[in-house]
Amino acid sequence: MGLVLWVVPVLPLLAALLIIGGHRTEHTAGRVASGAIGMAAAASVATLISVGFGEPLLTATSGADGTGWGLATGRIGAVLTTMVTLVTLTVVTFARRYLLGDDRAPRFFALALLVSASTSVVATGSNIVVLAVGWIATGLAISAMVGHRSGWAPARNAARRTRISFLIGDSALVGAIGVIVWALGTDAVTDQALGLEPMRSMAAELQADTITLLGQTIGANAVVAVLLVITGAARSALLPLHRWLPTTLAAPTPVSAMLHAGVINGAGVLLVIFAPIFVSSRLAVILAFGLGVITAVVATAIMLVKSDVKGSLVWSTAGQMGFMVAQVAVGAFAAALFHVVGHAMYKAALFLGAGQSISHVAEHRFLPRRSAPFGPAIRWTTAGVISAGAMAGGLALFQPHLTDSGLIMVVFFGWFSGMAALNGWFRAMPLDLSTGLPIGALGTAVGVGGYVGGLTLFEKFIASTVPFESPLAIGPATLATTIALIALAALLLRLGSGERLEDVRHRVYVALLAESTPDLTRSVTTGAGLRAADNHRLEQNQPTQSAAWQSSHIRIFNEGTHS
Amino acid sequence: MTTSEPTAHRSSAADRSVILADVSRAATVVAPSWPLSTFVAVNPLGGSEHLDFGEATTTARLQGRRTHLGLAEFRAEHARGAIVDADLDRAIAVAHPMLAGAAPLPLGSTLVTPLEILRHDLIRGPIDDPAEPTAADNDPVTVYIGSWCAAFTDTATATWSMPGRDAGFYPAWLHLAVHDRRVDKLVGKGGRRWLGGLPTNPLDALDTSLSELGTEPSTRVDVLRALLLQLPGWAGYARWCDEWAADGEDRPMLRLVDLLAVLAAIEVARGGTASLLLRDTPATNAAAADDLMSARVDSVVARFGGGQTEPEQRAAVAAILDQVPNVERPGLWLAAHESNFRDRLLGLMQRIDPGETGVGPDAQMVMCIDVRSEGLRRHFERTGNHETFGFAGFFGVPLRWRPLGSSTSQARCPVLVTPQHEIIERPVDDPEAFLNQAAAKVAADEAVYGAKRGLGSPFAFAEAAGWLTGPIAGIRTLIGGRSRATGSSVDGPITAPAVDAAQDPASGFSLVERTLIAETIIKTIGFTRFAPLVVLCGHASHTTNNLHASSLDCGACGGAPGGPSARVAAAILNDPDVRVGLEGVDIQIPDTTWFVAAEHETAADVVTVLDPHVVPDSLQSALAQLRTNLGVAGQKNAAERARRLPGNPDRIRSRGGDWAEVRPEWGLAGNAAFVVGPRSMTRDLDLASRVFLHSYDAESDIDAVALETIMTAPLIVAQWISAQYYFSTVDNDGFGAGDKTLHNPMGDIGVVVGSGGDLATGLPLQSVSGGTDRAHEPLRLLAVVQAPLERIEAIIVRNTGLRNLVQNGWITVAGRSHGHEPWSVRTPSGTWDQWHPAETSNDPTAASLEIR
Amino acid sequence: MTEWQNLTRMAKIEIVIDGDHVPAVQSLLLEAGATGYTAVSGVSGFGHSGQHSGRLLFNDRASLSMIICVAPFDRVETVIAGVRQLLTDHHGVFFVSDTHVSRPDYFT
Repeated sequence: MGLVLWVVPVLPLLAALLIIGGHRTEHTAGRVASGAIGMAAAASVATLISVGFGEPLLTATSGADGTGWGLATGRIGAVLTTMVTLVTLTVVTFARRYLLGDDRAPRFFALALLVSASTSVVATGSNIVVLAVGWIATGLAISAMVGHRSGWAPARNAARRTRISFLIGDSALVGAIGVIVWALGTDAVTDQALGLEPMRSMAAELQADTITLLGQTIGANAVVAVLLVITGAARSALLPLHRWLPTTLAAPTPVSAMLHAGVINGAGVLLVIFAPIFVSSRLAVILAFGLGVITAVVATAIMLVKSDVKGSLVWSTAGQMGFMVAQVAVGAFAAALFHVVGHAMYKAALFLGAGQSISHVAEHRFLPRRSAPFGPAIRWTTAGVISAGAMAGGLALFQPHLTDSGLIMVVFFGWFSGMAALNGWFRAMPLDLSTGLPIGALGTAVGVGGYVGGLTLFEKFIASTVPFESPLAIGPATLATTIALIALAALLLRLGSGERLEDVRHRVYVALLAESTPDLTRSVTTGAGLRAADNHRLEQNQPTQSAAWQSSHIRIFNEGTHS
Repeated sequence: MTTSEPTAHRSSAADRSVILADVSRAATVVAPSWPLSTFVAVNPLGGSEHLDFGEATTTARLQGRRTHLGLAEFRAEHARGAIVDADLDRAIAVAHPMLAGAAPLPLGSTLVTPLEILRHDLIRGPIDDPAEPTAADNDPVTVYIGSWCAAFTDTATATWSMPGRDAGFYPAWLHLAVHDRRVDKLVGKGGRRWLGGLPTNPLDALDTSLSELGTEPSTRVDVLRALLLQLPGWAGYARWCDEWAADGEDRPMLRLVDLLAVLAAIEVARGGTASLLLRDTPATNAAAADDLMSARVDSVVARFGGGQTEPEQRAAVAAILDQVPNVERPGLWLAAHESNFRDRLLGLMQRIDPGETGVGPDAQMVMCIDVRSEGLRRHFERTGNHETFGFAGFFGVPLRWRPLGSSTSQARCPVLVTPQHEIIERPVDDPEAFLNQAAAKVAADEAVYGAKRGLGSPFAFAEAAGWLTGPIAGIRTLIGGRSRATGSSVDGPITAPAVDAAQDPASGFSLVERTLIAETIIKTIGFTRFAPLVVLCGHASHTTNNLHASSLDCGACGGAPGGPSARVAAAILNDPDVRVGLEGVDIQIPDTTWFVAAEHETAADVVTVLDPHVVPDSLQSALAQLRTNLGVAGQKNAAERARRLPGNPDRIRSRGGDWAEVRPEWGLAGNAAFVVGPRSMTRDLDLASRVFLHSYDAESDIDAVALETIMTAPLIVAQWISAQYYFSTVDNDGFGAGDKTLHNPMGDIGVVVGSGGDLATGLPLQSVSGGTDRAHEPLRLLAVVQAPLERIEAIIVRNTGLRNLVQNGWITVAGRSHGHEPWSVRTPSGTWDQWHPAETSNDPTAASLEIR
Repeated sequence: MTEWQNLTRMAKIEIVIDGDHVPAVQSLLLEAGATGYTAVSGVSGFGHSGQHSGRLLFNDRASLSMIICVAPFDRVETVIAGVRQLLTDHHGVFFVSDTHVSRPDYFT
């Protein structure tokens, strides 16, 4: 069974090398890629079944019991590799038609395989060094994918920005390993397995070592935890390390799907794997919570003002990552992992289908509309009450095993989603009240109840592999206060009246819109400079072929030479 | 930098009037750009049609665009035989008659004609196609103003829309720009302060900024043009808003004067001046040009002269090559390429016996002039005793179509026509179930939107919804599209277009109008006899996940499906009162004749018969046979098209439904000619879906009304399409929409490439290219008309727009009075020269119009 | 004779221009404060730029249109400034004449 585990990263890796080394044609590369990733996905599913129904730990390492070098996975790793390989399979299959005629398609296939392979290594690496290698490789591979159109300056710029942000995160990860080595010796990073119990003991050992920093004495565990938060923040585009993310739209759609499904949720994955260390430090928890909440609020607000479809998807992702990290900070590790997987599939589907929007808008303009039977106040109230009922029913039916903070997250956000959806349904109430209301209520019940049920099942599946009660995590009081304050501020801004508030609203709107455009400082040119640049182009009376289709061979990792 | 305060300015009424006039004069530098939900192909250089093609393209090159294929690409065409030496000789002879006829000159030990020298130079002389491409970067000003244009115009995506946009783009922007820290990055703090002092009226502000830039009245239009070219996509959309949007259009209108007020203000704030904006003469690299010329001479000398060439012989060669400067070489190649196509098409048509078929047909079918109809018509004709016609796909009924239960209507006619009548789709069955279902769809969508787009609601929604949408996405990807072989059974209730205004005051035409419409259809097409079943077949393309889907729909219906127009036209022609009225103008439609509406779905080549229930029982068996034949024809045409599309040919009929497919079909790629005349001119010829076919019978059109209509409307639309494909092919980044895989949609307005910047107008790369192979040969449109030459000439002379196109070389017109006469080609100077194929041109017996 | 005293003198401008440029003229009229205008599309004629077909069946844009506007003198003056500018590179003609209206409030 251990061999199966090796298939997941190794087969895609070999296939990627075959594509790169063999200068395969687009057609062959596509076939090789889907074959390899298909088998990797099958192996992942087999692993998942094995750890789900058989032995909970699957190992293939140099040492005994999953220690040493190699791969080892519990349920978390199996869930993640299954998700990543299936998403990659979808994206690669999609790209075989979507990128037809693009002579850089083989490069895309190779890199997608590398992303899948390295992400699988992150999820199943047997020790922290293996994990770190996978982590860094993932970052390199995805930033090379972001630079797919290497002949186009915005693409090169995006790849560069992505690499720089990831470099910050990767340095923090290397730093964290360094601290562990310093505190516990080399064995801790090479021989220590990554499961819940080993991590607990490592956290405790780290805590015993203290470091004096700026006159403060803190545990090595806190340093490691904070560095892990920074590592995750860079990968998951948390403020203030978020600016690379919008620039990645310079890559083709399937690259965005890979990035938003397979890579960007790194913070969640990392902090769940190292959960015991993470929640052993109040400092790290507060940092994560702060970054998470701020990102969730700001990025989601930016999404509201974006008028381009992919741009709003990008900012939605950033907001979702903030939410995910906040989940981790309140100790809701299982819920965070549920979010990682659910959101990955959600975003992959939305990116791949981004081309549907115009027909959709056009089609809907001509569909019959009926006006809502009641005004906003009644609409929201009714929706709120029904959604609350659905939530209560779901809780009663599924009895999820949650901490207080976890419960607040599930109840509040589940209820809020149900209410907002039902309110939307009411806004275009399709049928008369006697049919429309029950259908809407039923839909809400299924949605909200299904959410609670799905989460409960998922939680049960991985309960034994993540910490449950975490005394240092953000407590229910802080969480509830934070949510209440944000909700109040949002309501005030939305509904309040008066000239001053209007002015504030305008300033907020402009600030959000401004933050949403990738920075403009890059090449501020005066009219004179622009004309000169143009003139340079004009001299060539045979201007150019579309850049994207020019390069004739596969180039990997070498965009830097262009920028 | 600028002074900190704009000079307080309130322009005089006359000044503002003059500036406003200059704004609309300047606007012609960009082509109008329709919202992408109703793609309309336009000539990107349409504003320069009053200029010679060569002059207009030179100007466009000065603006940084590419207007022809590169020499290397032309040479590749030559190498594969799409252009032959004789075509080049002819092109040289037309452009330089003196040189072509000149005596040979001694070179080394041989005598060489100037023609040989020029031909060698074109085919093998040195070229300077640049090695590395310089793809357009996004200028910060473009990104900045583009983000505001997007925020202002969006009605579909953002939940929080731009505050104060009801006041118009410029005032709303001015109000917010003072808070925008990006402005500091662009123009500095001083610049932002300066913007804050601008007047709120866009014309006053434009006046202020223009004088601040140091604009003279005489150069104002040029300055405005230079500003518009900083953002040509959004400027094109603004031009649509100003000049083409229907009166009741329910969306924020981006006005050119507002856009220019913003552009000019930013230009002032960042220290630009009018003279910098106007400095568009390239600093010609004289040395490089000399080097190239000398290399060209070397090449000729080396080829013909051998080692011993006298200096004066070199000078003579240089004098000849000087006549064809480097910039003119692509123009000669283009002319040669067109000459080759012209020879092939006219040669093919020359071989056809133009005689009429004798027996009355069992069925007739009228299809849109769209080039995609040609293939289906050809295959349909072969399935039986069938006759087909070509006519603009709105069937001569200018209407606004309001679908069942909808409160909105949409124009379904060429954009050149402003429809005066709305046709409502009325239920025949009980529509309640359909309406409920449709309304539930809207509400479900609102529910998703409501959850997705809030501050607190998306989080739980995303993690829950992903478990549903993820697997669906995976399955959709693995399966690909569903194959469509038969017409979809019409979902929804039975409906009828309400065409009679007397019965339905909200909808339709009066009897007089309907009779006139019917007369126009019959006479313009040139119907002389009627089969029992006459199919009026519109067309549409059903594709998914395709932002440019409407570019595959019917252009004659304004970038929308053509089915409703066919239904309305059929209803009018079947109307007994109309038929009585037609007898008054000598048109006898037999009682046994029935007009059947249909729609050709072009991605899968499936023809669906519309409103079959209204066909009389006596014709139902004939209708069943007809459907079978249409099925066979569709299958054959699909197989034919499958050969031209990249990817698995077996997937041809599922491409449209495949969400991973970027080339569901080729659309009008390959279009090159517009043939006006009876089908006998082209019947049985395989025109490879490259030719617009418009039926016309010169003998029954003595007063030339029909021909004038054809040449001033369908021909114009065809030229727009042809020019759109031409320029989107030669400069896809500049004139086209660029790479589809990078497209990022903005509501239903259009796409940007990547994260933001200018609106990308025109056709995407994947519409004109299969990757390494072009799917479109960039040629100017060839119009071939079978009608008395004097009649054609008179129509050209009295219609300014058409005259411009012909005299300035945007289209070529060939004609003959009737089928037994040789072809003549109209020269730009107005003479008609008899056509002969170039001597060694392609063997006419093997001639084919296939691109590859 | 007395009827004339009840009329108000105003200016009338008649502009004949390509259908394509009608929107530009319309915005000039509105900007100048004209309260209305009459447009006739598809007019035919013969003049400086040669022959012009009249109404075309399926092209409202290519044939000439005539736009007639009556307004107080100062507003027509504003219109003239703009139309004159517009005609520097579009062909077309305009005529200005005195006219009398009975209900001046319609035009101001």
